[in-house]
Amino acid sequence: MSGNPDLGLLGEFPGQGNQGGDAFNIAIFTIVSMVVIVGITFFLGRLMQNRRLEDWAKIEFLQVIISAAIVGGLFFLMAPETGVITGLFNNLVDELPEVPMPLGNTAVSSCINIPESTVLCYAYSYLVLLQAQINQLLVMLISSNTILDIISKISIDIIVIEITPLSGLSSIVQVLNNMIQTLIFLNITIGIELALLQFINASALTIFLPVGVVLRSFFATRRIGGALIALAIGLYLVFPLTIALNAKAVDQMSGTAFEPLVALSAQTENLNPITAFDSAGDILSPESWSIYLESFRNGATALVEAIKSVPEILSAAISILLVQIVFLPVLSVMLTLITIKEMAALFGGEVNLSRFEV
Amino acid sequence: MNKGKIYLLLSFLLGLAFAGGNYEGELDYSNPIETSCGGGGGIVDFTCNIMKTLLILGPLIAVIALVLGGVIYVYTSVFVTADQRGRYHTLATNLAVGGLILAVLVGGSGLIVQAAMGFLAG
Repeated sequence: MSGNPDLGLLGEFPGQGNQGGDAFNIAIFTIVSMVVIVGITFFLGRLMQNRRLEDWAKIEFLQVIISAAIVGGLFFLMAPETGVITGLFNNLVDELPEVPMPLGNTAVSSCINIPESTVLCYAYSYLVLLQAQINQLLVMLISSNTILDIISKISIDIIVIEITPLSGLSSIVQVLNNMIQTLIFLNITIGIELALLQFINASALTIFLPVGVVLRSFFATRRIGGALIALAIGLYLVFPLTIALNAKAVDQMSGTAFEPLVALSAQTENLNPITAFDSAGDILSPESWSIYLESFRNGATALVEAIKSVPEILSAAISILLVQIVFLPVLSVMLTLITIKEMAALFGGEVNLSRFEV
Repeated sequence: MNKGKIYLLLSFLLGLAFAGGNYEGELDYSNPIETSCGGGGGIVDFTCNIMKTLLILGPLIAVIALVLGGVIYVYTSVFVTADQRGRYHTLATNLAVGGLILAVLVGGSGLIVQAAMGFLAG
């Protein structure tokens, strides 16, 4: 069984970097050892005519059979490449919902280190697309906001009077600032979720499931073993499945809804004083300023029109993103915890979430 | 530190040990005692060695019990008075039955495990 153990009728368990294979070996060795221990205990019980020892051996024999069945079933279901569960999600990534990108649909979904035919990859790809959408929104908003901030502070000195004709834009700048902060918070949250999915990919099948199976096989550690098996299944299957459900359940912003934002970005870029002076000439010359202000006067109407529709669109976008990235994942975590708790009981373990005990 | 925490710690230590495991052996379900455990010293070899020790110890106890049971039965039938014979016969029977069950469990352990593994996966 070097590397890939042959499960006889069950086929071959490939493991991940042989860790799954090793875990399988340990589980089998532990179960076989437990059969012998049960036999010896039963023998001692008969010899000493101790009813309690005999009963313990009988119950333990049943538990060993159950453990073996769980081991066979789990590895048959959850094998990373050939498992029945993984087979259910083949080509699932191709069915990702379309996530429109404000600057064009250039984002490519990817599953770094995660096998493609898994629901984990589906959830990861979906979150990567959402992150790309947020990043594009941030790029547009930060760029527009910087330019608007500069424009809003331009003041004209006429002999003894100094006026700042575009200071009204500062309120828009403040609104955009708040939205940028919210988007950054969402970006961090989605980064955490992506890291969590990577952690699940790295640990659920290679650490929690094998260790759970081994501990489940040994009588003294049966409860923690059952809890770890439930944790592995909950993390590897239930959590990404709930995220996949979120992806299907929530309507995305339509691609056309972002057009006012794109228009704002274009208008502000046109009025960018830094690039404008590159073509108009010396920034210190009054003529350059007259040319710039003239261009501003021409573009002001379009800018105002773009600014008018921005708060509504941005609020809608941020609302949907908040639901997708904060509220629904919280629901996913709750569902996962409930599943882990219930499944732990099924596997002979117990998880007390309120007291953080197993 | 309560039991749950100790188990959790143990599970993580075991998880770390997986990385160092380098099992080279081969498990024959019909005859698991023939498994070669290698000498790596990893957790896989450690568990394998425990299994092998038990698989050697089990039949040994079973054979001793069967022989001892037979000897006690014959000896008490010949040399012990009828009023004392009952208890020794019970002991001999217990030794024989226990040894027999132990032999069956040890001899069939690989096949029992293999069959049990197919319950949910078949």
